Amino acid sequence: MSKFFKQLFLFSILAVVIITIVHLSFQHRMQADTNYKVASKIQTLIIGNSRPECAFNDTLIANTRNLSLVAEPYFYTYIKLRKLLAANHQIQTVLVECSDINLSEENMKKWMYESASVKYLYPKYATIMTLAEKVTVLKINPFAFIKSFPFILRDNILFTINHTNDFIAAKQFGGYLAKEGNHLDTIKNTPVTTASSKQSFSLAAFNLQYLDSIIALCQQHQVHYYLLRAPVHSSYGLASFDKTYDSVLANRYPNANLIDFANYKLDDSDFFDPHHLNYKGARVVSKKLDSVLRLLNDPNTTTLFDNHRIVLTH
Amino acid sequence: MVQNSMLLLVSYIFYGWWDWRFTFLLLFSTLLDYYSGIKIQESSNDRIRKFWLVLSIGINLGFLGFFKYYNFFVVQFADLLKNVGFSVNESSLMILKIVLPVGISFYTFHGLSYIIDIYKKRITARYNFVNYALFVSYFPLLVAGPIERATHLLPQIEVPRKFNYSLAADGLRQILWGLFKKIVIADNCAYYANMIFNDPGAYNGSTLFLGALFFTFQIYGDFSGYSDIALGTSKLFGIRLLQNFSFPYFSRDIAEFWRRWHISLSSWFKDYLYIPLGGSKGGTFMRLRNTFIIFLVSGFWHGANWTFIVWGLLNALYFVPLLLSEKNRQHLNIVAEGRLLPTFGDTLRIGTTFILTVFAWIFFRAASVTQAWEIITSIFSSSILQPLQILPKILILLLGFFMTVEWVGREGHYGLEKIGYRWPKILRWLFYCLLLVMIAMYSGSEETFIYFQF
Repeated sequence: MSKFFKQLFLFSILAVVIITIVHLSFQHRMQADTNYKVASKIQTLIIGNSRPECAFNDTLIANTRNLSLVAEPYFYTYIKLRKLLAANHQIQTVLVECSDINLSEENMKKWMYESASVKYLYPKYATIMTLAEKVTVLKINPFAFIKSFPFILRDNILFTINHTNDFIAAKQFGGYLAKEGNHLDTIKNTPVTTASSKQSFSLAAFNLQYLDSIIALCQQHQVHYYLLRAPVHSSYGLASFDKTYDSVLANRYPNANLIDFANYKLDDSDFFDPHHLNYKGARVVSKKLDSVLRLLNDPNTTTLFDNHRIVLTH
Repeated sequence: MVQNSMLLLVSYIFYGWWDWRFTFLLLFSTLLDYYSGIKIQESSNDRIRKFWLVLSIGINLGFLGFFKYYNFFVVQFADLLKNVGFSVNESSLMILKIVLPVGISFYTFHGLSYIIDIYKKRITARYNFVNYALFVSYFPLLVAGPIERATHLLPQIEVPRKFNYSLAADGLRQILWGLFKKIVIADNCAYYANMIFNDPGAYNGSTLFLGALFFTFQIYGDFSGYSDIALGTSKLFGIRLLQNFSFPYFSRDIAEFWRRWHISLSSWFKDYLYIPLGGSKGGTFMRLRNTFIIFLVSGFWHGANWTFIVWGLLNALYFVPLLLSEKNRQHLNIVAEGRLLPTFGDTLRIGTTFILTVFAWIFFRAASVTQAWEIITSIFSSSILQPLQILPKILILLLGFFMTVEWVGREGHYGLEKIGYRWPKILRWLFYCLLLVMIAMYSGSEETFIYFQF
């Protein structure tokens, strides 16, 4: 039996070494050859979670690319933006979604710590993360971190075999998501349990730490940044959260400008559900954002912001 | 005794991990067959012997029928009443919301073979309960077979086992190949097969045929992969289980396919159903009747759905011409034995048998007989000439690699058994590492085994 275990041990060592070599080789190739460039005409990026992902159709907004991704906390958004700004020096403006869900610790626990989220997001970003960032994920959820390994290995190998070096085109970084249909009627009558309706609320400190980093990164690259709130339906009850929201922005980000679509007047039929637009609603608000961005980029425009806000209602 | 007690304990923990309540069902079934076996052996009165045989078979099949077929029969009965004009309130139907105990079809058949063999005086009843309970619940085969025979497994359980280096190494190799079949082949094929079968209306004939091909490889990779893992695991404990698959997709006719596919179930039905019904003795009518019975029962064993019954019927129809022409036992050897490639004739026969099998699998996989028929109609329409809507090149390459290893290894018990046997050890190990890399790449999706539901 000792011979068996000795042979098994030796084989295991060989297997681990080979898998590690394969993993590192493909990772190295990806890091070296992968293209993170957006089209040269793109000057504005929209980043955030599923709300901007569904709300802003970037084909209707001049020189803009929407790279929002469902359930993405700022930790991963920061990593994405770091890579994009380094590879795309023509970027002048970054719009960062900042709404109730980004501030809620309860929501961020799901997006940052739960196994399903780690297994979904970590493999997407693993190749462009620093060692310290990987250790952060490891500490957050060691089990999901380990279980993500096959996905990273597979993605890297298939990415290379398929000769795709355009990371963004492969949709790893997100993009506009056209939602069809309207589930508002069925959802309207069910109580909303997101941050805005919570009695007790705790601030997502870890998440906001990375919003700080995003802002610092923009400043470092001399890129304009704006906070952005995508529209939500009145049944969502966002108003109950306004005081907290205003207070966080005033105290933590006193110099940040907010482009606020939260109370934008839309038909019920423009919503996919109480806090996501369908493609019809996206068409309306995208055109509006396009006009806002044109004004912002116009040197003749004096100021659009009142107390660091543009509140768009129609 | 200690070895078997430990294995028994582990087997019950393994089974209870899924749902501890069903361990009591397993224990009851075991106790019933253990006691019935002793009663049958100890009695010289034929009526008493038959009483215990019928009691044991009745209760075992009763459990199986209740858990697996009750809802099916209730729905069919309600449909029948509706068709003859009765009004049936669907909400009042006594449909049970129960979970099918995993592996019930397998351990029930273990118990039945034991009881029937004692009744037929092929074996003697066992008085050592631990040994018998381990025979029924031995964990590698508990949930998806192979369906063992008392005559084969009990003698191995009853002797103390010593660690066997070659057997254990072979076991690990078989586990590796089983994992490759399951994770790399079956789970990847499942992705595309599910995509196509879940929305067949969206695809043209050529893509639907590709979907059927993917399911053909999925079910083989899934089930034979599980069997390899089970057999390999058992070898680590010094117990050899029955071979369940023997390269069925290289069969030259459907009779050979059934000698190579799910061998433990086919041979179970042959020994405990086909032969008692008269087997191939008697006239043409008797032989045809027995063939249809065995294929229909085999289909129904897989599940309470008309799709399985039609699958069984279709296989019976494939088999009939061979039976009538008495050519059902003409391919008993290994195809192209000792040669690298098959003859042209064998290639043609293998191809034809494979295509027939693919069409039968469509019924097995489809949600309903109607859907299966629609898929087949679409395949035989002009849309078969349209370009494929899905072409997963990497999966096709993997399938090519898989079938090459299977072909090269077809003279062994499983594909990988003889591959690289004469290579330098380091080269052989590197080949195994290549398989491990592929397994690591595709692991993590957590697809369950198809045969767990049976």
